[in-house]
Amino acid sequence: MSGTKSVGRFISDNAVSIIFLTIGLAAVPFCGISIPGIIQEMLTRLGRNAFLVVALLLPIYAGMGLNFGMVLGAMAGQVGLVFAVDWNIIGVPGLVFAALIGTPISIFLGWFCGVILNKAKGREMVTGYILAFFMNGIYQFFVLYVMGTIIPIRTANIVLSRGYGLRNTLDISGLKQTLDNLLLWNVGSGDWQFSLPIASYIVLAFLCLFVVWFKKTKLGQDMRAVGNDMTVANAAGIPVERTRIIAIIISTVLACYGQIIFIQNMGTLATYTMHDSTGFFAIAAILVGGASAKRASISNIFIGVLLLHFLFIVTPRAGQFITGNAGIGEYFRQFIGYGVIAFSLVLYAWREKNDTNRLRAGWRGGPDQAAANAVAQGGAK
Amino acid sequence: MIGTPAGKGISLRRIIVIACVLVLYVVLIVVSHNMGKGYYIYIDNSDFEDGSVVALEGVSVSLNGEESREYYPRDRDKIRVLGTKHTFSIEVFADGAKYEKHIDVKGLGDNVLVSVPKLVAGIEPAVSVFKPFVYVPPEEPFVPGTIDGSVNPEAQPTIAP
Amino acid sequence: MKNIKQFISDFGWPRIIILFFLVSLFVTAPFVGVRLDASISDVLARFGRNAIFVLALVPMVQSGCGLNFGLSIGILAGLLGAAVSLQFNVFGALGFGFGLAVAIPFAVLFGWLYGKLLNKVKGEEMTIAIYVGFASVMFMCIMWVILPFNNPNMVWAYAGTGLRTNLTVNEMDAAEFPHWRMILDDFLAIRMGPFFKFPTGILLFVAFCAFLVRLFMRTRTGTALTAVGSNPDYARASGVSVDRMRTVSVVVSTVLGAVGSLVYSQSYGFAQLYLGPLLMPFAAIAALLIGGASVKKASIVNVIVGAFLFQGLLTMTPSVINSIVKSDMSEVVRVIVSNGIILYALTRKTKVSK
Repeated sequence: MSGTKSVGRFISDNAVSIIFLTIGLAAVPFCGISIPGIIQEMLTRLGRNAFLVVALLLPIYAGMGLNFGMVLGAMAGQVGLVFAVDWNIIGVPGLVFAALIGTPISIFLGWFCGVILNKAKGREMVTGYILAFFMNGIYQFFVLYVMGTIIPIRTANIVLSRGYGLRNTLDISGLKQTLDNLLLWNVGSGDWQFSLPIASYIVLAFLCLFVVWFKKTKLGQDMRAVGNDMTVANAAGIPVERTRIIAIIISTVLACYGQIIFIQNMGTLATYTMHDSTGFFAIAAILVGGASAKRASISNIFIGVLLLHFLFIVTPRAGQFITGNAGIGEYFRQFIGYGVIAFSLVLYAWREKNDTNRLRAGWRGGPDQAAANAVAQGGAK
Repeated sequence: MIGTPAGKGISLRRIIVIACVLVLYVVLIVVSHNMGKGYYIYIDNSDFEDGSVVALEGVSVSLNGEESREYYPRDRDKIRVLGTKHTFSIEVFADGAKYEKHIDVKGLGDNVLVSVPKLVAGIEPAVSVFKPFVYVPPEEPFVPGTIDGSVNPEAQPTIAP
Repeated sequence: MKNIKQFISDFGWPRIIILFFLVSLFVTAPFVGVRLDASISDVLARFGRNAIFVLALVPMVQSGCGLNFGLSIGILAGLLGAAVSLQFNVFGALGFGFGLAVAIPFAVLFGWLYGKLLNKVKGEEMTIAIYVGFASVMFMCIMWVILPFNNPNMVWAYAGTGLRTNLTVNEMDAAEFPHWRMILDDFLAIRMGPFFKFPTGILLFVAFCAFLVRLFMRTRTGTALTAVGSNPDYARASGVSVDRMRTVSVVVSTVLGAVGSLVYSQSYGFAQLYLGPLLMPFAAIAALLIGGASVKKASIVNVIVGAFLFQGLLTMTPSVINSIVKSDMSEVVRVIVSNGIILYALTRKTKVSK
């Protein structure tokens, strides 16, 4: 009896991931890409996107929900890259330079975001979302009108022909795939040959170690306390507001570095639009990996990135196949993406309510007591 | 910084930590800048203006051990390099003479012109500042608030999500 | 003096500041070469076009469902109605009415489903609404391509199938076949010179809708709705089904969204399919919040004041700033202003203002 129950719980706990896996597997035969091709693409995307997703961990840990404001960090990273390109700094030092320029900007933006989110307690996700839009406007203004006028640009070919403002796409050939190529391992043979960007993986591994270490520090424990219950944490003497702001700052800085890694793999910098999907992809990935707005772990990140991009790789052509229409691919992808975020948010909220109801039933005693106890133990993870 | 309770004021230890971080930051910026600075070297094989140096009829040049390229009179090539010190391996076709010349492009800006005849003849300076003609093709500035970049005068505030 | 102070604190400092800003823009306009009569005419037209969207948000706020970020669902229903009406070439006022007749049942259905969904996620409605709205828009994007519309004025000429991005609500040979463009706008319009048009028709329609909503909120259902929003336990104790009231509010909101979509299309001249509805809810929400509403409470006055201030800002700021700076900053300014407003409202402590 308990066997089926725990299987049932496993399925409901990981419903989103399972659904994604099923849809993806169903689409594989129709997608027109060979299996080694799919795997190679997934490996590349893991190195490219996972860092950004890790940036979401700490705010969830600190009880602030999904940090839509990570886009601010991405914008800072792009500004850093612009300067690296402008000063013609290439190779890995170029990436380091971009990261260094982006860091103080991210810290400031993260602080700003944290302050705003603190003023909107209980509505962090919506506020973060709008803040991202707002900051995007400021960024566009900055890149369209301030760069080239108040901030001098040395390299003429990244400026628009009217004399100020950056061009729509910047050539970053000096930085293209520098991190990837730093340590590229080619494994396998014949059809099954893969190119692994080991350097990116190593950076990712260091980041994960950092997160694990951080959770053990006092600051990390503070964040967890704040995430569990702000009032209790406050009573215990933890500076709640400051801790939340620090969580957002770290998240923003990580997003800055993550975006730089993302862009160096993509190979071009679309100055005005590159960061638009950053938040969307990262949040979709972590949700697909089984995380929720209140609980997330490192395994969620890896599972999520692999699954989400697996789906994004195979579905466009499959959508075309199903409906017989070529233009659908991109809409289908976006539909699946938004749909899965909505679905997992709904599922989580619904499950929360169910758990609360079961707990309540448990307090009244009776056969539901065992169920309530199980919920209580599961919730304390 | 982490353990200091709020309200205690800025302690000396905190100032020292912040100062160290700032110094480290500046150092890192300078280091990454110098290590990563890329230059464009224009390898040139043409007559010097006052006729004192003549272009070599045929010469093969290899920069920093890469594949060698051939240059005939008035040829010019643009190569991107990392760092300030570079080595040219030159082989003149006419008399088969081989040369190894080292140059340092420090302080000359992003674009430098290296005149091969001058290098071979040993006339200094063989390296000079170069101002490349930059053609900036006209491009419309991106219009934020539109989904596909085209202007919709009636558009509500929009950004592509 | 005390009355003035009372008035100011009721009206709220932010709205006063925005009002002053707007007035100053109007004053500056003639000095920088912006025609005042064209501007006012513009503001009035945009107000009429967008007001119903803002109105549509009120029921859900009152019933405790939060700001309807999923308004796009209603807008999509309206677009469906518009597309069907155009498909069958129904002209004039009849076309508009036909569009409404098709759109409203769809809106009721969509709204009912959407309401059921929101009932399952009480407390997290807003975030989920954003993504449900986006997913719906994307889903309809797929639908616009594959649904069997075949009116040659609506589909891509080369392929012969799949709807165009913007459907003209105004036939090419406008003189002969005016669809239903400006059918409301031009009704009883007062023209003064080549630049000014007072769009009586559309303003009358907006007033009519506002009146209807106000009437509705005073009925038994309406008061039950408000009770559910302000005090769910009391409402439940009084025998009101919380879930049913919430669903009703969502349906009303969606239907209003559909109506608003048709009004918008007839005024603008195009039915914007595909990604058009994607971000419209955000503009409506900004307007409502600037009108003084909060996440938990909204009134018709909020709607009128908010829509007017918001559209006024959105029209005047870019045109005046463009003339001063001599460059097209309008889009960037719009983005910053409208999102800044929503941000400000979200971060305020909820204070009830009339």
